[in-house]
Amino acid sequence: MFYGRFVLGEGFPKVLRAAADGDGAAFATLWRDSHPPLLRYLWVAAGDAAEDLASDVWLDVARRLGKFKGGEPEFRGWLFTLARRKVIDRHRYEARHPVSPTGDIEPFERPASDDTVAAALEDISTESALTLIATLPRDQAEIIVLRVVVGMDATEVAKIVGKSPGAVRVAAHRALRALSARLTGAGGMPPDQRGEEAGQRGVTL
Amino acid sequence: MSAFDGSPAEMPIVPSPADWLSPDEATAERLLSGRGVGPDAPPEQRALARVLMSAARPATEWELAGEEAAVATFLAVTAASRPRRPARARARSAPNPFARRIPVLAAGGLLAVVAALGGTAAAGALPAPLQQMAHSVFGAPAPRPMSPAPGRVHKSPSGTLPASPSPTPGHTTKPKGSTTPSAGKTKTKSTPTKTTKSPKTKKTSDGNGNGNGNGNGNGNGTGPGTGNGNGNGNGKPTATPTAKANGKGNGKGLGNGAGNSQGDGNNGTKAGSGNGNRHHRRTGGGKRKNACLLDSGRAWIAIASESVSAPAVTGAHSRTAARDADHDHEGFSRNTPELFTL
Repeated sequence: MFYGRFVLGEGFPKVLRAAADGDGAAFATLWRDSHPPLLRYLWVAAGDAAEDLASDVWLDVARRLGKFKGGEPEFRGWLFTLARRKVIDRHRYEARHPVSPTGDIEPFERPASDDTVAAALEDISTESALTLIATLPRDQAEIIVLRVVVGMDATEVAKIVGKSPGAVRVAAHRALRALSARLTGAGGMPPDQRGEEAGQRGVTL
Repeated sequence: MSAFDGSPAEMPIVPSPADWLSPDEATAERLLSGRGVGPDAPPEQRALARVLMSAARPATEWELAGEEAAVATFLAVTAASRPRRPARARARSAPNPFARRIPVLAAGGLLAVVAALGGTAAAGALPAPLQQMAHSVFGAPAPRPMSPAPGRVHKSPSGTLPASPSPTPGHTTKPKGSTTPSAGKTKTKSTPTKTTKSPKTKKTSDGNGNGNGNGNGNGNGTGPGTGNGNGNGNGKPTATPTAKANGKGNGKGLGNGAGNSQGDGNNGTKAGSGNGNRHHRRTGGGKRKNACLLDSGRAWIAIASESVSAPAVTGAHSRTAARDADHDHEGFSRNTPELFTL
């Protein structure tokens, strides 16, 4: 089973109505269905701040759930739109308040790319896979997670990220090529993407 | 090179729409949609498919560990937001709460005005045109006639209507500053600094005269066989009845009441003039003194006769005076009159 597919399906309107009326069990159902992909998206997009941002997102959902109208695809679109705004706010905050780590602290505690590639060739874990995706440029990584992990199509992703569906497709294909290049070595990466990724993420494979 | 200057073999080949999706792009769509790759796919594509499927695995326990905290937060937020909903609904239905009160306040104010006017009209205290209108509309008392009532003496220094709304028989209304003792003689005295109004005397058949004066007062005392006039002035009697009763009217202020002076027509004496009988505490004979009544700087003097003697007032007048005596002080306090004894 591919996790990104919708889980609740036809039972979603009933669960949503109960949650809007304050039913904790119904809200728990929504949370179990949507929190894992939300957390993975936030981890890829915001790193270690993922859990804090996820809590803020669910707090907004709890406050506005009574006003929400729509089905499960709309609910997911709303949820990840809220999450993306949180991520943008987080990046703006970090840009205004830069933190310069001391030499004793490792700037990144994520696994090294070599380890990720090695693990990908075997039975890699979810965290390792996400770590590999997180090495992509931010917009590409975001699109890959929304399409693969959340299970949205190009049109739904385009509404969230504010791009056209064609631009989303192009970015997704580039991201897959980049991932493939990372798995097989830098030789597979197109020349125009090497410099772009090196400049944005500073990750050298 | 344009499209028309080269040989067909040199023209670029435009792919058909079916060829737009290259095999790599088709594979990419399969990977992105979670369909994976075929068994004959290259190893790098299979490795990529494993990475993507690993990223989309079902949730781990670590990812679901915060469920209880999330539900508790949701319940707290829901409980905190529920009491606010009615208030928000009210705010939406009435963006400006004060605007809803305006009609209520306006209706209340209008009702109060109508009630006040109705009550005033029922009491007959409206101005004559309005009172006439109220009389014709909903049967309020008719306005008092502007012409002098027969037998009543009225003096209104300020031009106001007499205090008593209903005309009393036996009284006449007189113009400002004049006094009319009805019986007996009236002596007038003028002062150099004040305008002296000499009261007109008028004898009536029953010896009762009506005085019109501002200020109220009563002479006190009854005397046998002597007429007693009522002077202007108010207040409590200052003299006790004696054989020659000397009533000293201690007038205060400018009353609108008509004085009732009664004199003895037989002996030619007269009663005093110009008394506000609404405030008479007691009628009776007495020796009147000249009373000078001032009204807000407009001096006019009602001078009564000296040593008037008249029979004691009896009958209706005395009862009226006694009844009216109950109201004297309040009326004076409103009028703030002064009375000078000359």
